[in-house]
Amino acid sequence: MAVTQSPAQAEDTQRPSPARGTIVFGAMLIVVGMAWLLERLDVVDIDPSMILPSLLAVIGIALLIGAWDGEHSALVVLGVIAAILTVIAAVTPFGSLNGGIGDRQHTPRSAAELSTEYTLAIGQLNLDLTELATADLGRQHVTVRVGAGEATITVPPDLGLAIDASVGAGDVILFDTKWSGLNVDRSYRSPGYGVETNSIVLDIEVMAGQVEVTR
Amino acid sequence: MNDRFHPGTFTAGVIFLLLGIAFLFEAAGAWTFRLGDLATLGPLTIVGVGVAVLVSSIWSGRPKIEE
Repeated sequence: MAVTQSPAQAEDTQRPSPARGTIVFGAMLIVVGMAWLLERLDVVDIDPSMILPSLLAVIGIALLIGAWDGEHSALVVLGVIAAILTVIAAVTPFGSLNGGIGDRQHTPRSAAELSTEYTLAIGQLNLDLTELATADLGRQHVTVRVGAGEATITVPPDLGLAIDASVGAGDVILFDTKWSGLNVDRSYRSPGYGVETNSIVLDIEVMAGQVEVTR
Repeated sequence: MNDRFHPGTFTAGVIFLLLGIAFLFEAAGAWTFRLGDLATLGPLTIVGVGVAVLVSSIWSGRPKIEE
């Protein structure tokens, strides 16, 4: 017995079934988008730096499932782009891109003028602490962040110092001693640090370029 | 395994998933990835692409089972 199909049924059987990978990718994008939206509305607290890696993992899962349906070139290309963006975002933390571009000179003269953070995206940042009134300074913690460029800090000779300096690629110069290369991390503690009542903890980060601390 | 299975896509999925998980941990502070680490990522990328090419070629050369 011949089975006849209506035009609508025939169209349904001819229509290709959607790829599983695409369905999973779409569904997971909705989940990621909803999570992001809830974060923006302060309903949940999500670290923005987790969005790109999450998207990359979502693409990975979609490809794992979609591989059973054949090739998914567009998703692979999207994955490569997401992977590159994830790596770029990881090496350029949000804090290192604040502060603008150009040269900055800071010369605080009192504890009130001393900021806890100095940032510059690209350029030269000079922090001169030699005119700082150190008598009633107490223990201060100062963070200096430069994306690409130089951070030069001049410190007074009679102050307790703890310095943690790091450069992703470039030089660290601490009182005439220079270290160069990739991921250079150097620390310094002045002889009387911890004993003096007045001291400064300097946390210096440069993504690419140079850190220099002089007296 | 069906004949529509695409090993290259599967391998890319594994690599992206592992990278995504690794960088989620990085964002959470479990480890730090810095500019200097790109020098390590270059060879790792080549290894990853090599694995993808190898898996694809081994899979495409497998004997077909006639039903």
